[in-house]
Amino acid sequence: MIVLATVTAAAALLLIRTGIDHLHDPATLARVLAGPAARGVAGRRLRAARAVAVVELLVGAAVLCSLALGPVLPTPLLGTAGPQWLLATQGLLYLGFTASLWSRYRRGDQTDCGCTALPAVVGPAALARAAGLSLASLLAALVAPATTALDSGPAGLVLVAVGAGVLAALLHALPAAIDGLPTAQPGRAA
Amino acid sequence: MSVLVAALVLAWVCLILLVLAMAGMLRQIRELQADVAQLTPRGRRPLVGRQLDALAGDTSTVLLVLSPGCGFCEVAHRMVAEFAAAHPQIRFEALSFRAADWPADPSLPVRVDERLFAELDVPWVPALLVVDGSGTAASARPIGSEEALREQLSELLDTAKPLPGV
Repeated sequence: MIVLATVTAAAALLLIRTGIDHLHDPATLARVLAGPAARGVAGRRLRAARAVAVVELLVGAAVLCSLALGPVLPTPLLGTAGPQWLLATQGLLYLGFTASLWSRYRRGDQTDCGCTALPAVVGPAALARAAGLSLASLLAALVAPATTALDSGPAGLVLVAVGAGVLAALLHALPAAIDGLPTAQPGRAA
Repeated sequence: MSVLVAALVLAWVCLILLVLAMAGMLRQIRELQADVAQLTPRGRRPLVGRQLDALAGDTSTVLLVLSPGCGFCEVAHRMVAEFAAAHPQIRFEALSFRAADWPADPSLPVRVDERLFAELDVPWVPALLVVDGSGTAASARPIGSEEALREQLSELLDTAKPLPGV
C-alpha cells in the first residue's frame, strides 16, 4: 500500500504543479481546449482554462491532505467515502487527460501537450504518464480507501513524502525527455 | 509490504524512469546532431591544391583577393600594384566579386567575377594566392598587415616563376 500511496501522492503533486502552471499561463491550455482549427484564444477559453487549473489545484491538494492526514478533511464534507471520492476524482481527471492526449496523438498532433509549463510534444510518454497515474489513482480509490501514509508509521510517511517528491519530479520531466519538444504551439501552424 | 520492500520497489521505479528519460534524451541529442550536421554550410575545402580552370594560364599568377567592403583591401591593392609595377616578370591579378574604387593599374588588372570568387571560397580578404599555370592554387595566405604583405611579396621574388620571355 505504501507504493500505491506514493504513486498517488506523486500524481497529486503533479496535479498541483499542473494547476499552478495553468493558472500562471492559461493561454497554453486554452489553445489546447480550442483545438487545432481555432485561430486565436477567446476569453471564454481562457476562463475555461483557469477553471480547469483551479480544479486541478484543489483536487491535487485535497488528495495530498487526504493521504497525509487520513479522512480528517474529506469526511465532514463528503462522508466516510470522502477519500475514495477524492482519489476517484483524481483518477477521472487523469483519465480525461489520457483521452484528450490519445485523441490528439491519433490525429498526429505535434504541438505542445499543454500538460505543464515544461513544453513537450504529444507522445507516448505523456500518454503513458497520464494513463498510469489515472490507473494508480482509481486503483487506490478501489483497494485502499482507508490507507494513509500515517498508518505505516514515521518511516512510511517519510518514504511516501520523499518518494512522491522524487517520482513527481521525474514524471514532470519525462514527456519532454522522451517525446521531445513540440514543433509548434497548440492551435498554431508549425 | 514492509517499508523496506516498498522503498526498494520505488527505487526501482525511479531508476527505470531515469533510464527511460536518459534514453529519450540521448535519442533527441542524436537527432539534434543530425539536424545540425545538415544545417552546417558546405565545409571549406582546402584552398591549396584546388584547381580552377578560370585561373589557368601560360605561367603562374599571383592573385590578390579583394572585397569592396574590406578596409585594408585598398592599402593591399596599392602596395601590390606598386610591387607589380616594379616586377613586371611576375604576373599579378586582383579578384573581387564586385567592382570598387580601386585605381586602374595595368600591372594589376582587377578581375570582377562573382562566380569565381564564390568558387574559390577564400576564407579571408585580402588574401594573396599563387596559382600555377594549370590553375591550381599553390599557396594561399591572408594579408594581416602591411609588414606581413611586404614579407609575402619578398618571398614571391624567390618562388614565383617569371613570365615567359620577360
